[in-house]
Amino acid sequence: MNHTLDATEAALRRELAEIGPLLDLPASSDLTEWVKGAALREATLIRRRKLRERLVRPWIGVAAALLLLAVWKAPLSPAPLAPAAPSDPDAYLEGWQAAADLSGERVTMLFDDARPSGGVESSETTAPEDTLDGFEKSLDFFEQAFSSDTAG
Amino acid sequence: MGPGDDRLLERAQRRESAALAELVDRYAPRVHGLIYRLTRARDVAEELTQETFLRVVRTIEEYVDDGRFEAWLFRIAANLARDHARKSSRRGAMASLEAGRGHDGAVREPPDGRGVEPARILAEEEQAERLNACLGAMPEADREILLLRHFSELSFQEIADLLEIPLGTALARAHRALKRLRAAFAVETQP
Repeated sequence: MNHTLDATEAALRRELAEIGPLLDLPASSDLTEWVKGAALREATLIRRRKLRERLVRPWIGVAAALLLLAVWKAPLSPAPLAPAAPSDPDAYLEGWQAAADLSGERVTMLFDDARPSGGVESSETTAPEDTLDGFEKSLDFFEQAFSSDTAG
Repeated sequence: MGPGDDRLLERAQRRESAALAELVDRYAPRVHGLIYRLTRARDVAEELTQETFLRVVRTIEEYVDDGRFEAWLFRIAANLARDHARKSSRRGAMASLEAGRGHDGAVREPPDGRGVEPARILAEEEQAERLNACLGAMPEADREILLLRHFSELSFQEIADLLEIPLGTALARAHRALKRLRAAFAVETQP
């Protein structure tokens, strides 16, 4: 049985080798370049998306931790500083202002405490997109340098 | 793929541009040939060739390098062509209406567009039409095996595995398809 299949397959190979070239098409460099362009654009988009995910993922954890910390700390706040029974509306407003200031300071302290030291410096004038692009370029440079080292 | 190509696939899996470009250079003409002969529509073949490589780029991480990259690649191409045929038959679209347009939507010149040897070009066009008619008259399953064998250079066993049919069935279909092809051209070439 196997012998028959082998013989049939060999005959088919020979026959196809004779008549197969009829099926060939002239190669089109335009088509190849068009396909290549689309494939490389897609690869770039995927690389960028993955890079963004890698950059953002650790910060999601930090944000969640901060939120938990804020919720956990909230009930430990001292009693409100506003007068219990406001007789004067101005005094009531001042008390509320003081409480709001204190609360703001506490939130700032919480963020300062929770922020990891020695992290990536960020500039207020730099858009996040630019930072990502810059970081990606530096990775590309590293990748190229690494490739040329290993190739050589 | 050759022995030194493991590294090429590793680089392609990291989506390095040079490695992906090399894969396109190496396989796009054959993938296009397969899809064009399966669909017999030029613009569809171009779109599906591009889609094949987009899918390769998107999913190449999932490819487990077992030395059968070509089987994996041509399976994607054949499945896309098959899906297209299924949708077309549902829509009742005629593939021949789509022929003759390029990926930019422009009407294409005759093969190569050289126009210096009209008799030869005419003969080539006639032959291409005859080939299309012959392929179109074949059962889809027979045509698929013949074309996969020619363009992918997979063994019949690999093609049988890919199509999930016994080897004997694959060989029988290929034999039928070749017989039709040979008959069509033998009849036409007789004086």
